[in-house]
Amino acid sequence: MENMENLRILQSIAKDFNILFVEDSKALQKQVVLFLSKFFKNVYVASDGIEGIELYQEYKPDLILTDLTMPRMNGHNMIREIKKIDADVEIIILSAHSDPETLMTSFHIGVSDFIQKPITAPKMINVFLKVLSNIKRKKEQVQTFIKNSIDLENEDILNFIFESNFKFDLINYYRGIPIINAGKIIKIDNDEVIIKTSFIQLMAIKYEGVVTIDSSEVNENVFCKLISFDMDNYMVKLEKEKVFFPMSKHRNLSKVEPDEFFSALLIKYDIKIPVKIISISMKEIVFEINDLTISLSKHDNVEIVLSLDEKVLFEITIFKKEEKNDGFIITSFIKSSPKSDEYLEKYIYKREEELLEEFKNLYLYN
Amino acid sequence: MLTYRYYLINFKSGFMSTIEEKLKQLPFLPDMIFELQKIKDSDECDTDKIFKVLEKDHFVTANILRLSNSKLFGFPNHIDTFQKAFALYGVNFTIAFSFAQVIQDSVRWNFDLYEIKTKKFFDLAYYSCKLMLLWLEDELSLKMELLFPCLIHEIGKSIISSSILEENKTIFLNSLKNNSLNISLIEKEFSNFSSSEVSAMILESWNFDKKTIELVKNIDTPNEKATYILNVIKTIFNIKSPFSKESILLGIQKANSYGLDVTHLKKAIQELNILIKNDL
Repeated sequence: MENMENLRILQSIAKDFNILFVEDSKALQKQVVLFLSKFFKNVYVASDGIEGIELYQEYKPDLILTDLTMPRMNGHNMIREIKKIDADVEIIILSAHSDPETLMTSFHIGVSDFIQKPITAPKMINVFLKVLSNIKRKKEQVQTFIKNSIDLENEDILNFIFESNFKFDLINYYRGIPIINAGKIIKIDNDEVIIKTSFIQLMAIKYEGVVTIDSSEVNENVFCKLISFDMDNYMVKLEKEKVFFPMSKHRNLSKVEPDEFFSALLIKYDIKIPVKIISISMKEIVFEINDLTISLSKHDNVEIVLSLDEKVLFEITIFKKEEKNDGFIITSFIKSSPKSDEYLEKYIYKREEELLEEFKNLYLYN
Repeated sequence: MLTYRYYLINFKSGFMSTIEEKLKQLPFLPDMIFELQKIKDSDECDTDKIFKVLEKDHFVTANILRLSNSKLFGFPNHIDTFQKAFALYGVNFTIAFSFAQVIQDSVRWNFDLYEIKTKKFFDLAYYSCKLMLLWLEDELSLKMELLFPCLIHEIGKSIISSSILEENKTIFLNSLKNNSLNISLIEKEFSNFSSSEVSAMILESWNFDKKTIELVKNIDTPNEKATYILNVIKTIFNIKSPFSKESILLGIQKANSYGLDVTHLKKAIQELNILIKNDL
């Protein structure tokens, strides 16, 4: 029971994190990656220390799980190099060696924890829970610190971007699909700002009436509302509404709204009821349920049948339940499998194509 | 009474400053374009990196996927993911069409003076591109080099269209109607520039590579094989009578005079004709 509870907690924590796994044994790689993929957002795999450093530099994962004895560059040397890039990165070692000297060296160079081979699921779950909780706590502390300092400087954030000449993107959504293009501040006056951008972005702002300013140079985004356009000069006048911390823009999280004929069936304990799908991404399904024959609670595992090109069954976990009119809006996470991923990817691409064509016909060609 | 020539002199003298003003007004293109150009031109052209950059833009992925299932540029089997389309098309094709599409979506194009809607204008560019691909079937490197210029070499028409003064519009329109196979000459007469030259200015203002800019700039004064080919394609797909009997004849005539492969061109025209009929 305790293991199941730990498993569930790990699932909810690890889904926000990326992990790098460094191991030269292909057999062990396959086995562990299968396990890690069930929990982590992204799993990057390297076969030796050099490849490990390269992948770390490219993806900056939150956590590293590494073997010690490897060809080309061993685990200890790789850890030393990675710690030079980011001294705070959490590293777990995976090794057959449990002699005090190896352990002392490991902890001396900044390893967070140790899993002794042969590895088992409970061993990994316990160590991951400990280390990930630590990362989560540190992240929250940093966020709080940044938020507090930003609160003081909220007034100046657009000025800061403008004066620092930082590059930034404007973000809008058309029925779930992000429309993102670069912008340039032309003029700024207190909370009002004039920005130059592309025609397609102007049309997306026209559609939403709002826009988010996102610069990779600052942690927070600025949410603005539309005041007016100067279409001849590709400019838009906006008013700053609020500053907030952004969500990921990863393609896996981008949602699409299905068409009006799209049907779905929710299944729990052999009871089947139709639900209305609001949005679908590779990771989550949001739906509206008005028939209350089935009661749903957070963390419930249920099934849903979606009419994609053919009817496909997905296992989902209820994550959020919000009351709306006579029913509920439910946000659920999809239990990933290669088959379900393939179906979803194809559907999302197809739907994106339809929606963007619709957007172009409405806003670009008219 | 003011004469037609008086109008033209006044118009021409003010046209350069009008173009400069219009170029300044243009929006900038996303960094993605230059990021891709850099990766593509580097010694080791990393296709994974290119894929990751392209994948971020949903308009780009949707457009490439649409193309891969189109009658004009599609494959025998249905393509359902961007990964598959990218793998089948390869880097050069995907990048050329992505650049063209980003350009198409970034600007509020206006071809009213040529009496053509934006969508139709870019559809013609796609058809002309297909003709070039069919014609140069075996010349892989040349056709890849000409893809992007072929898709965008007429965009300068938008600036000409929005720059011509109200009082000159009727004269311009009549000239186009009376001489639809010599549009570049009419553009030059009215503005000192052909639309290809204005297109080159647009590309220059966006910092595109010199080679592409030169290619586009010289389409109406061709001096080597690449520009000869683009000139023939432009003639056949001229905006006022595209793919008409007259424009095709003139295109073949030009190809002949430039010493290009006319047999393959005629075959390509026949193939495209069938494709267009099926596409409509």
